[in-house]
Amino acid sequence: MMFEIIINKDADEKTQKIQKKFFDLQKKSNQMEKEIEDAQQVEEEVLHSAVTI
Amino acid sequence: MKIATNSYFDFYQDITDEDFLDIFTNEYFLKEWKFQSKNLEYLFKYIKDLKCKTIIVEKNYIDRDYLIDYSKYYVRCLRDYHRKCKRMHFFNDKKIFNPDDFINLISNSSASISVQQLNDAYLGFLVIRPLPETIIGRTILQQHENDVGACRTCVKDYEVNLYGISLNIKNSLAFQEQDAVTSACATSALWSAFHKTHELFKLGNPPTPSQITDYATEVLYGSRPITSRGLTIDQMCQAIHKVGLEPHVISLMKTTTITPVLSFIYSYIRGGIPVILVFTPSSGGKHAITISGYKLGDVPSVSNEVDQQSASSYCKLIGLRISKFYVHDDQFGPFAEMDPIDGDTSCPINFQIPWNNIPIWGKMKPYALIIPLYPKIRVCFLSVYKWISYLNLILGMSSNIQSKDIEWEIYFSTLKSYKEDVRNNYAKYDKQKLLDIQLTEHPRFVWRCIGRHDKKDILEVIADATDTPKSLFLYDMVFFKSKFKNDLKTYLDDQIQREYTKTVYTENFVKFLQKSVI
Repeated sequence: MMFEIIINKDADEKTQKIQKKFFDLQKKSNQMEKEIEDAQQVEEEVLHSAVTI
Repeated sequence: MKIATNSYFDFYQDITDEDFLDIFTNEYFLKEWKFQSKNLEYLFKYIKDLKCKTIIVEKNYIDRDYLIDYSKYYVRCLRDYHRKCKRMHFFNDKKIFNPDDFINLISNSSASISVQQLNDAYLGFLVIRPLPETIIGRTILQQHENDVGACRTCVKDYEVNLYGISLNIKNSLAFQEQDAVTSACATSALWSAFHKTHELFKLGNPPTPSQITDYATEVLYGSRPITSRGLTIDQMCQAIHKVGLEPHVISLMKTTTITPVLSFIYSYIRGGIPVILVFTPSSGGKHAITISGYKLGDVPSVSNEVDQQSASSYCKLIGLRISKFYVHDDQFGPFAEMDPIDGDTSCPINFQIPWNNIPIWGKMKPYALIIPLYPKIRVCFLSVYKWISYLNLILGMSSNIQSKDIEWEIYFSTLKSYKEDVRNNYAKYDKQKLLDIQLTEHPRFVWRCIGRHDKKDILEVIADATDTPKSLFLYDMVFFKSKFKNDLKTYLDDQIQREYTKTVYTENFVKFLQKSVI
C-alpha cells in the first residue's frame, strides 16, 4: 500500500519545500501510472475493426 | 533484352521497361496494362537501383506458398489456373556472364564464372504467380547498399536453389502482394512478420498466406474467409496465437495517448521483432503493413511523440530522431521508405510513404500496432518506459542536469545479442562489470535502456522481459560516467530524500538504486 505524502504546514520552510517537491512527484507518478495502464487497454471497437485495403 | 531462351529458362540482359513487363505477362495479365500497378513500378525501380544487369527467368517453378493457396482455392475453379509459377533471379554488374557460362556452370563444365562469383552478383528473386492482376508472389531481394545509416533489423538470411546451384540472400525479408482471394493485406503483413519471428524464436517454417487466413478465421468471422475481404484485428491476433506467439496490441485511437509511437516501434524492431502498423489512409479504410527497419538522424524529425501536456513527465526517447522506417507494404513493395511527420493534437505522429513526389496513402494516421511476441516476453515496452521515466526524474533531482536533457534508448534484446554487444563494446565497461555481465545468469530476453547526455552514454539499465509486469523487473544498472553514479549515491545517502523516494516509488526500487551505486 502506498502512503500519501502530506505537506505539514507547521513544519519549517526547508521541510515544507522537500515535502512539496515529493508531493508533486507523487502526484505526477500516480498520473503516469494511470496513463500507462490506460494506454495498454485496447477498445473492443479497435479489435473488431476490419483491415481490408 | 532477351538474349537466350530454352524450355527451362529465359536469359535477359540490360533490361528495359518493356522486357520487365514482358516477363510478367501471362494469359490474364496483359503487357499493355503497363505499370498500372504501383508495386511493379516500384520493384522495377528497386532492382534498377540494385544495378541489376542480368535476369534469369525460371519458367516452371513450384512455389510452396502459391501451391498451398492453389490447392485450397484455384484448383477448384473451372478456369485452368496453372500450378507452376515463373521465378525471376536478379544479378548485378559485378560479374557479367552469358547464357553459355551459366549452362556450363550448371553442368559443372569449364565455366568462366564460379559459383562464388554468381553468388556475389546475386540480388534475389521474385516469383510470378500465374494469376490475373495479383501476380507478385514470394519476393526476396537484397537491401540497397547505398542507403547510408539504414538499419533493417527484422531480416534473415535465405538460401536459394537455382538448378542445383546454392545461392544466398543475406539480411532480407520475404515480401508478396495479397492475391485478394486467399489473402488480404493483413495476411500479407502477418506473413512477412512471421518470416522473421519464426527464425528469431525458432518456430520452424512460417505458415503460407492461406494457412494464415485459415488460422485467423478458425473461430471468429463475420464474412466468408475465402474469398478474403480482409481480417479484423482480433482475427489477426487469433492467427498470431495459432502459430505459437502472443499478440501485443496497442490502440492509438484514444483521444489522448501517451504511447510514444516512434520509440515504441523502435524498441521492438531494434531487437528484430517486426511491428505491424494498422493505419487509416487519407482516403479512409484500414491498411496493414510490416515495419522491418529504421534510420536515425542527428536531430529530431518530428516535434513530439506524445501530446505536449504529458511530454514533460516522461523521459525523452530516441524515437524523435527516427527519420524513416522501412516497411513491407503489399500494395507497394519491400523495404519501402516511410517518413514520420507531425500529426495533430489527438495523434502527434502521422506517416507518409513518398512516391514520385506524391505520398501513396496521403497522410497515414496510425490506428493500432500489433506485435507478435514469444509468450515468455511478458513485460512490454510501456511498463519499462514508466520505470525509466521515474528513474529519469530522480536523475534530474540528483544531478545538476535536467531530466529533459537525457535521451533514452529503450529496446528489446535476446540475451545472446546483449552479451555479444557487451563483448564487442568492452571498452565502455569496467572489466569486473563486464565479467559480471558475461558470467552471471540472465533471463533469455531483456530490455536494454541506455541513457545519454550530450550524445554520450551515461548509464544503462537492464530489465527482465520475462518477469511479471507488476514486479520491479529492472535488475541491473551500469554507469559509464562516475559523476552520475556519485550524484545518485549522494542523493540516496540523504535519509529524508531516500524515505520520500521509497514512499513514491516503493522500497524495492530504492533498494535497486542503492545496490547500483555501491
